[in-house]
Amino acid sequence: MSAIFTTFLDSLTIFSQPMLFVYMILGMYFGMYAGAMPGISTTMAITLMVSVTYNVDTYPALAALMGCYVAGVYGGSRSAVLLNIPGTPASVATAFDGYPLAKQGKAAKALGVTAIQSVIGGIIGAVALFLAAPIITKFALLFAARDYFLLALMGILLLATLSGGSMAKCAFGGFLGLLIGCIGMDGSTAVHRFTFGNIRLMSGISTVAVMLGMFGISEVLMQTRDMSKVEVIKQDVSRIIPTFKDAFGYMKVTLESSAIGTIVGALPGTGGAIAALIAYDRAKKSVKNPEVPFGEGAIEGLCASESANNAAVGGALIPMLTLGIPGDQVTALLLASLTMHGVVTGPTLMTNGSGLFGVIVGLCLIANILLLPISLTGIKSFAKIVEVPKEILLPIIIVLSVVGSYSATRNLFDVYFMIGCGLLGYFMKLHGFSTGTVALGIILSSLIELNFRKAWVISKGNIVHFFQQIVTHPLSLVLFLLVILMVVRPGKIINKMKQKKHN
Amino acid sequence: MEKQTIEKNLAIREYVFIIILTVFSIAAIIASAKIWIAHSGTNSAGLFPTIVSVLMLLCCIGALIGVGKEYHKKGEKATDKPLLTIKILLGTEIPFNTFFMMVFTVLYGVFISVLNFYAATAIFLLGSIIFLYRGRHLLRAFLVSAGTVAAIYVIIDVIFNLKLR
Repeated sequence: MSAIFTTFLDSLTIFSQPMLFVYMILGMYFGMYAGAMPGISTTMAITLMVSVTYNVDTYPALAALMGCYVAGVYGGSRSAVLLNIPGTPASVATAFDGYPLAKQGKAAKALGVTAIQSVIGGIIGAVALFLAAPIITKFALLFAARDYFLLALMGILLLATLSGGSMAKCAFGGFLGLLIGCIGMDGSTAVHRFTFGNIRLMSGISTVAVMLGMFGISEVLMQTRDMSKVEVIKQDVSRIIPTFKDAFGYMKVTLESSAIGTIVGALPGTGGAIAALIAYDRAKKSVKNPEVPFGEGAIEGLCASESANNAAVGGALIPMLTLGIPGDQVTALLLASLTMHGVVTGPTLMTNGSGLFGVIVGLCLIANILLLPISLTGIKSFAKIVEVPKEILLPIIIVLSVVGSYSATRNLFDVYFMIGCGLLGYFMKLHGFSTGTVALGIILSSLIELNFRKAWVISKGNIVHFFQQIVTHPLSLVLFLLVILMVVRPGKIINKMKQKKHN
Repeated sequence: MEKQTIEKNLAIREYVFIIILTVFSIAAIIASAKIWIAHSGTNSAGLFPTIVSVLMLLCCIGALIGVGKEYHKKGEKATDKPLLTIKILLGTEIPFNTFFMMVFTVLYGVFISVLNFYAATAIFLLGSIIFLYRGRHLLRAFLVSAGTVAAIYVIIDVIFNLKLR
């Protein structure tokens, strides 16, 4: 209790330095617009921000970085809603209902809801960081390698089940993504995999390139199939601030999703993408009668995805600050930045009397509060993007995708790979295969493989031992059963049996 | 009549695509197994890709069965006259607009390496907008292309300091 009180007092020191707010707001605008641009991910925005803040004092640097991180995660939802291209992996699930809303002329409403939900989720994540960091850390430490493997696998299967249609087709995408993720030099044995002697393939395939190809290029090609069918929808921008019902009418979903986001975000290596998908799936199952079906513009879907991915920010900071383990790429960069400023994270950060833990927690909370006014700016002009004639918008999306993949690594090979992914994605979409699972597969590939191999080595390469380890540990068993349930889908089988009986 | 033929040929298009993916999965299994054999051991770099590619193959088989069931349920034959309808098949799979955009996007990638990023972008934008407008709104196409290239230069090159040349 005294630790919480000390953290609270330390966080109040922020108010004695008004310039911190200026740095934070600048960081937030930078992060939000960078996140909203397909290809300029939060990671890249933070990378640039780290270099900009290198010569700045620790607190202002932290303020700018924290603002950039929080707003960047939210920013990703803008392109997901307007263009069906998630600006960041965490906003993949936002596109499920956000894009249909934009197609109905309700882009401003969707962006307003995502803003409010991001703020609520973010605040809940920050409060959890403030109150429950030690407890959540203990829970995260219970996860063994096999559990991370099962959890990440669950993420892919979840997206496959959420994509609708044939499970085999959607799961194929996930496994294809995992295979693409294997391209390059193996991290632990230095063996070259699928490089075919090409030196450019040794460092692997850029996740950004796959994501932009699978979402951006393929969507453009799909839309060009019949330009006469592509209508320009007039967007209703008369009301940007969501109604009370849209903002707070789905609090059960918001709270549940935020809790999921915080916990999943706290698991090292997982991040907002899995959190948002799990929360979306949970909402789909728990909301019995949504006003609009999920996948067709359900506000509940937006609430789940957005509150979870922003809550995951607070969650991801927990292992970084308390254990010195970065939760994802962005927290790894934050950790690097802290190290550059001479800050040592880990269990002593809370007890060494520097007060830095409290300041970081406070900055995270304030960034989420400031996100409310900031996220509601520019919505009207952003919503108008959807009104641009498709003859102009579609080529521009291709150009933005090329810019995104090229600027990420400045390797032309990634551009070619992105175009290839786009062509493949077109045929996949055309025949009912999920492209989202390919992107998620490549994102989670290293996490799944690393932990699978760790678990495999622990079980000495014996398949019986491997499964023995799973069934004898309660947490692993629960995750394993969830994976099995996702593959078997007993509900569907029961429904089919009932239908057969009825016939 | 043509529409019916197209509908009937949906099955064969789907079969062809899944068979291509099946062949790809088999190739992936062979390539992964080679790595596994060459670097055997508990922590082999070939084990995981082998498992993943086997799962891909299983998914393809599942998808093939699914497609068979779907079209069997609809009572449709895969195709009546496959050789006579190849043109329709290709036309339905890749309509002209899509085909043009595919080719132009690939050329855009080539142009970037031959010319430079900004010149290639300007050519791509101008060409594709003019094509999609079917030669109308030339001034608009010029203005949009120039404006977009300028905006990218300012945002990416000047603000983000990422050199795209």
